[in-house]
Amino acid sequence: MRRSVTIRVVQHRPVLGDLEANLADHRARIEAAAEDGADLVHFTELSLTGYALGDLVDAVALDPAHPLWPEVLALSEPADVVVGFIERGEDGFLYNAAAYLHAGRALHVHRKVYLPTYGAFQEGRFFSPGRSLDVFDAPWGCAAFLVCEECWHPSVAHAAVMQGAEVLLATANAPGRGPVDGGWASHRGWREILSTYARVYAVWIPFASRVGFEEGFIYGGGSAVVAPDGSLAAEADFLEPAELTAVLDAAALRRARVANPAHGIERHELLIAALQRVRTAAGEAASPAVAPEVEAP
Amino acid sequence: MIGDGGPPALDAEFTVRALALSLSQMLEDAGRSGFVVGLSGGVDSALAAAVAARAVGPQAVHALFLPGPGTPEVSADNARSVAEHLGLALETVPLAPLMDAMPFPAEAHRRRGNFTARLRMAILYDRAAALDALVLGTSNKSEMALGYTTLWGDMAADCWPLGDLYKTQVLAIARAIGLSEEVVGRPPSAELWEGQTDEEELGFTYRDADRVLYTYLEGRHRPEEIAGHAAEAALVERVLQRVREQAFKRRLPHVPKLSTRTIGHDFHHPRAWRGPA
Repeated sequence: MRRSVTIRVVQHRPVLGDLEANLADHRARIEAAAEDGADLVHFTELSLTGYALGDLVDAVALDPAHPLWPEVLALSEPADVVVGFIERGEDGFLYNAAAYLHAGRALHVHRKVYLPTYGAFQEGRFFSPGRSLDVFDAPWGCAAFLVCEECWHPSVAHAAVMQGAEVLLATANAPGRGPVDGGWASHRGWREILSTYARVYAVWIPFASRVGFEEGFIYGGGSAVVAPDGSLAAEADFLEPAELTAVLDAAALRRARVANPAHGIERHELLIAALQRVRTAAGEAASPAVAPEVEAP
Repeated sequence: MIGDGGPPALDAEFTVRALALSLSQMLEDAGRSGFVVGLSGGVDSALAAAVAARAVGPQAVHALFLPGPGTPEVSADNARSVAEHLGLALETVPLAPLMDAMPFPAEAHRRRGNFTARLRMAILYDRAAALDALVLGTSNKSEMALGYTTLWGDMAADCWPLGDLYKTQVLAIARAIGLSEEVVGRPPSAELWEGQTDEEELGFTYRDADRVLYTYLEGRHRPEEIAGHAAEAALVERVLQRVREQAFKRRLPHVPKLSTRTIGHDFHHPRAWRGPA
């Protein structure tokens, strides 16, 4: 990391389908966070729309021609912003997307690669999957997104860190399951996973996880800022809205990497060879290779 | 041997907080003013009412006691004590005059019982319309899984706050939040006819049923894995047979698909929606 970042993680309840109300709420929170000295305000997955949209994803999809798009970009005038939204791609398909906004422009847009379509989840019905595991150069260092289900695919975190990511920006719309010991068993599981990634890879992981009730899901909150040693630098309640402030300290990241250089000596050729054998065995040799769109700095 | 021994113990206070949050947001999304709930004097309606009172305040929860021909006096006492404990207004509407208009043969217990449950539904929905309220359902996960419920009767509601709690979990949470032992300790009964109890009619206890249901539904064990020996194999078979035979009660009616976009198949709109159509 080139420098430390003061982050404000927002655990909120978006208004389902109301872009203007959610924009106004984002704007107010960003202005307040900037006044408090935050460099970056980190919202949840689909923070501008809510989650349980069903067929109505089309009604609130954004593209550069949308009349509200300039207002989305303008959110980042007081501070950098991570937002979740529905992107109407130039190909006409709809994506569950997360954007890093900086100084009135979208520095990076990530299209969620893994869309959960099993059990209670139906994202594959309504969205097209992203095709790329990217990192990007944020003003303070190298970052990548982990959008909800992607946190449950270690390959996504691995690909990000191997391309240079120092901060994994995690977001989620996850229903709480297992009301035990004053919180959700499910969301303690989320924190365990992220804590493991942070510790193994020596990265910062701010995690914005929404709350509120929508279409039968009680979202489980439990947002956190996970430090490069796996500890929680900040953590939120499992039901109520909350805002967390923490410093993603560049020196702490440096120290963690000195103490734990394991991933720095990763032998990519062994993994590539193993995956190639898997691919060959599965008869998938014809599927297209996935290449990062942005080089690690 | 039956799997893990049944549904886990939950954090009662956190569970009630979570359910209360869901009810208050449902009400806000629906744009209504409160809830109506039928208090039977039993534990399910008492816990559902307690959650609603926690969510929106007792003044926004209107309770009704709707005694039918099978309702014993102790139910009236319990309904009154629950309403008093929770600070709810309680209205009593005896069903007898309505029942008199629809005579049933003496042996038609089930028909008359289901009719009684549907009369209660009609009264609750009428009161909900009058009070700008939602009807608070009181069905629990065990009843719904077993189909031990009257279609469009006690199952008819705008929300089911207890729908993901097994009966044994309902009992534990009700005790933990201080509902009285007179209510929590009573043998469960739909009171559709005199002397009816759920467990006698089902042929097994909720405790046994919940062990099978939990192991099957959440443990994802196959029936043969749940049933370790003959006695329990018979129980597993009886419970899962009900789950199978009563599946229709857990789904909306079939719509035969004719068009390119059909309600119930490929028309997916959320209930609460404030944005553009």
